[in-house]
Amino acid sequence: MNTLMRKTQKAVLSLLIAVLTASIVTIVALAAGPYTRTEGTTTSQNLVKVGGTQNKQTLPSASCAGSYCGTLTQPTGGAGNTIYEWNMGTSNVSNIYHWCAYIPTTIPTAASRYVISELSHTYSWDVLVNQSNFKGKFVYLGFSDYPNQSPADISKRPGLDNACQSGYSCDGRKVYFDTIRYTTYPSTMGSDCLLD
Amino acid sequence: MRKIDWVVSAFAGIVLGVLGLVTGVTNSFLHPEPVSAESPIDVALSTILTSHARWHTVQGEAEFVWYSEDGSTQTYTNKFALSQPDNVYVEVVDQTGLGVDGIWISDGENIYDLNKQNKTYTQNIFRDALRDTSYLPSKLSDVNPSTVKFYPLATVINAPVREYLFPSWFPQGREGDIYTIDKEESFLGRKVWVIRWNTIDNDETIVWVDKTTGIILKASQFMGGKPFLDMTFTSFDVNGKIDPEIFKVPQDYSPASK
Repeated sequence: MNTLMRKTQKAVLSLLIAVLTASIVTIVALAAGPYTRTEGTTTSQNLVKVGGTQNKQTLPSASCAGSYCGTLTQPTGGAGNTIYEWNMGTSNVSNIYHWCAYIPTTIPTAASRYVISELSHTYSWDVLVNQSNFKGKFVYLGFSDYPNQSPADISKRPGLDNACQSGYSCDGRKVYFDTIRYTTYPSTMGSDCLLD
Repeated sequence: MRKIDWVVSAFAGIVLGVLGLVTGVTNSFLHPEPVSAESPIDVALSTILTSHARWHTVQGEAEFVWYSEDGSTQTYTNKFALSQPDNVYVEVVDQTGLGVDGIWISDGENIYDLNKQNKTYTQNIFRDALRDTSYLPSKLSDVNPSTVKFYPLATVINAPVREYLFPSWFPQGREGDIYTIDKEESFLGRKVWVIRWNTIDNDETIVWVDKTTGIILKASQFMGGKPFLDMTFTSFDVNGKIDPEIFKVPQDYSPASK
């Protein structure tokens, strides 16, 4: 009886040692990798290209990006100063849909007003941009749903002005203007502001 | 057990382990599954990116101090009440008399820009496009390195507090920008992250972010190493009841002549 017990104890102990050794071998091997891990990140994204080029326009020239295409000086002392408008391009454009502006990296910049105005001036589409928060990137300024609500041949002229904006600094800072990109309606293109 | 028994057992274990690895049997119970390893800064930036979905109403007051290049300052107070998705009241009070103030109201059908000096207002339609948030990135991996997408309604609100009530632009910096959490603390009785954003051209913005709503309650911005803006919420209430009358043009205002 004692012999049987001893043999059983030996067998169990041997099995335990074998399993323990096997586990150590496996864990050590797996610890060497490779690992599979996903994590959120704000960098190293692939550029997402938007489809189609026929309707994509750039005013006045893509070569402005990285520097700036023009500048105006904001007034000092609030309302009542002369406001100048800086039009992007010389001709009017019909049916602007997606609309983007490149914000130069030149500092310091101030809040500026981008305006797409209908020639009849019964409707305008203003977007305020605090340039200091978007330097070196295109800002998607939105899309127009106006073609759905009125005749589709409304002409618009995209532009910017140097008016001081409510609640922002108004101290004679420069406003730098750069490339504007837009698509015309109807369009299947997205809102990523990128040329193909 | 004799010495030979220990050796045989260990050898058997090694053989067993190698066999398990080769055949892949051990993978089923030892190999780790892919997991999402969001760092604390990713959690904070994701909260900011989706801030607009984390509250229904907000009201309060914020102070803005803009630093001019000559060292002088301009101070504004922004009083605000917003009820999602499209009711907005923002009043800008110019404390130094050097800039532009006014009141901006949206009732969801029209937008009103009020001139406090001559008690007039201009009116524009509230475009449906301002309600379309489908193009906004909903997670950090959707952020486009070349393009910033701002909350549509915030693009037209005529007051700087819009940028902090709708801060989805904040995590959309350029490739190479660095975001770090300095610390966690309390501000206005709310738990906040203190996050530092250093851009690749040496601008720096420090923000105090409400951990529940993702709204930026305080910010200090430096451009080229010089102070540019200090913004501080002085009062803040989330999801409280707002009197709907505030989203109507006051009766003593009249339409501006064109």
